[in-house]
Amino acid sequence: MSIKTSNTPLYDRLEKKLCDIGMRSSISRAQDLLNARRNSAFEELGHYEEWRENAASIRSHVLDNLDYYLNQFITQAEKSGAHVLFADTAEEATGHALTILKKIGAKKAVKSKSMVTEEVGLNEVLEAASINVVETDLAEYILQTDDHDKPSHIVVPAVHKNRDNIQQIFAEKKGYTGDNVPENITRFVRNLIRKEFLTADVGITGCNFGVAETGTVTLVTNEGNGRFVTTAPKTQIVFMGIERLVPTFEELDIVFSMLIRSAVGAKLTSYLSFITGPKNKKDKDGPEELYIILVDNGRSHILESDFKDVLRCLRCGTCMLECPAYRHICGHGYGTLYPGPLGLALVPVLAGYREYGEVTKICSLCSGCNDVCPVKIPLYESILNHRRIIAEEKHLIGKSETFAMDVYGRIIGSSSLFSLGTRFARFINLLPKVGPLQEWCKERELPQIPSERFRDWYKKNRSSSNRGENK
Amino acid sequence: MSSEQKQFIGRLSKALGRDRLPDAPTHFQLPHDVHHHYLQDASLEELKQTFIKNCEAVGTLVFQCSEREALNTTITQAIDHFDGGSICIADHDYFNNAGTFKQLCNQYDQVDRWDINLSREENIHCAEQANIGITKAELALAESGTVVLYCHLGSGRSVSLLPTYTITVIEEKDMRPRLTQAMSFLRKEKQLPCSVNFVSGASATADIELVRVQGVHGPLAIAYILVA
Repeated sequence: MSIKTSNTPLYDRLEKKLCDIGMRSSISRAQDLLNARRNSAFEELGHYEEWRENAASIRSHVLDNLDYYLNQFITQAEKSGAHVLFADTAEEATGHALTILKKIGAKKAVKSKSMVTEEVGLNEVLEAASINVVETDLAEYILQTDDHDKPSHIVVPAVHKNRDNIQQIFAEKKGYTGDNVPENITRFVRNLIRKEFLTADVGITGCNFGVAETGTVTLVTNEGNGRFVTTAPKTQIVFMGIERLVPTFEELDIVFSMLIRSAVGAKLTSYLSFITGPKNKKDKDGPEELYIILVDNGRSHILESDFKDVLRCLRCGTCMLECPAYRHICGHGYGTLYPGPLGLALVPVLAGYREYGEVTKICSLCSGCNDVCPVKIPLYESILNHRRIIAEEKHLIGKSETFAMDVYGRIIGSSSLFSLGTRFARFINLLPKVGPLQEWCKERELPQIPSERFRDWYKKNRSSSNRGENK
Repeated sequence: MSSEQKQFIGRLSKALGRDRLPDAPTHFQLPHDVHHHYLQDASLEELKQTFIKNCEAVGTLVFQCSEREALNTTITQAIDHFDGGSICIADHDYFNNAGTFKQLCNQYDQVDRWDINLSREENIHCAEQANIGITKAELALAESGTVVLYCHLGSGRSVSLLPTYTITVIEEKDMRPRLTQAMSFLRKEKQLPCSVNFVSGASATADIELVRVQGVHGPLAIAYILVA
């Protein structure tokens, strides 16, 4: 899939999403429900700010010592029998995976949900090599079945679809004849995917966090697909972003406690799986070979930039659930794999301003995301900083915007032009009908500018008032 | 260290403004110790009650067994709750000492034990075909109704994942307040198992309209037996 999820121009994309009433209603409902669950989970836990400070300090400490901890993780993972591979770029990461699959003659791979595999575009590469890749997370399976529809949220990727949409997708593509009841659809998918698990050559997973002290890979799942993928196939490939580390299990406690409550409002998910090396020689299930592909893909560049704090991210998706812009356009409106405030803070520095600068305009800079981020990432400040860089350093804003701001600056900077400009400001009232604000005014009303300026009105009234006093 | 690793790590050191890989990380201490407060002074009874309450909240059944001698009878009750059928039980000293396998064989038609003398395929098939899988937990966590399962020679990962239902036996002495204590426990292990699973309920999803559905890829329902 890679970072880019849409080729449609930004404003056309937004227009389309704003008109999608069904999607907007699904997202609003999801935001309200998940936010309520999260608030209740943290209320029960207590000492929210202290927990946040702990989690933020762990992640900052890891980033400050990332070379040390990554090296320790590699050493320990290899000691436990895993093969560790290094990928500077997305192409190198997918290349490693393809080499492994070809080496063992793999025909089918089962995958549990992983953002980093989406980021590097793994599925496309494997499918081009005629390897059948089966997504096993229910939401990802729905999207894959629906002609590779794009995820709209990083934790609940099919949240933009309702039960009727999903029933129809499985009826058309998989011969489902049941009703739209979630339990029945889920049972149908369970039976389909179970066969895939048991016949797959390779299991592919991401890694929520690696534990440096032991070389352990950890997975947080609810459905059991993460466990299945690491149980039945004889080969397992783990894709892991280089920043996703904790020093020891003790810090993992804090990070998981925050991640799970933030993401789904639960104390723990159904499964936490800790994998340390391949299976032992005499074990009768689990992977015989375990490969860990460490993915940089721009992260070391972020580490030395002003946006280093964004790498603290736990991938909980809370910032999206709190975001008013996300509420109206969902993940699809952003056109990027990582949507919402996290996406706007991360993607421009990860993949470049030229292609991903414009999307930062989506943010209303309300700063609501900052208040809920479990690791206290300065999201709003990062987005604002991107906008400053785009305008002042990269000079990437459009010619018309540059011209308009230049004219505005000249008017504001000159008292005679300001006086003249405000005298004719009432003609701005025509802009929603004819001018560039036509689009903007489709869903909003431009405040009406009165025909008389305040300073003229004040001058007139003060004079009459003074005259009255003199009497 | 391979040259590839050296180059990969070297770039990170450079990004962090240093010439070489440091010998040790910078000093670190958590600013707060709130994670140690939860049920810090709770009695075993309080831990048990919290555990049971949290299990019930996610639909996990808890059977209590007041003495070890009653273990097999309680396991039978749990099996009957899931309507019997084929059984796959872990080859664990705890069950062997209690004569569980033998007793179950006498009571039910199809009882298999995870067997290192059988092939990988035969063991996985046995777990996949079973209606009920039975395992023994290393730890239990009160805060989240969680059991901690180790993979070992006598119990593959499949036993607690592939059957339609699973039953996990927990000794009360292994009850801990929360994840914090479990992580300290793991950190002290001399030899960490290649697979450790924290299970906090049946497999579940909320991917369709955020409606919780139990039984996606793993068990449809699970039960715990808490042994005094």
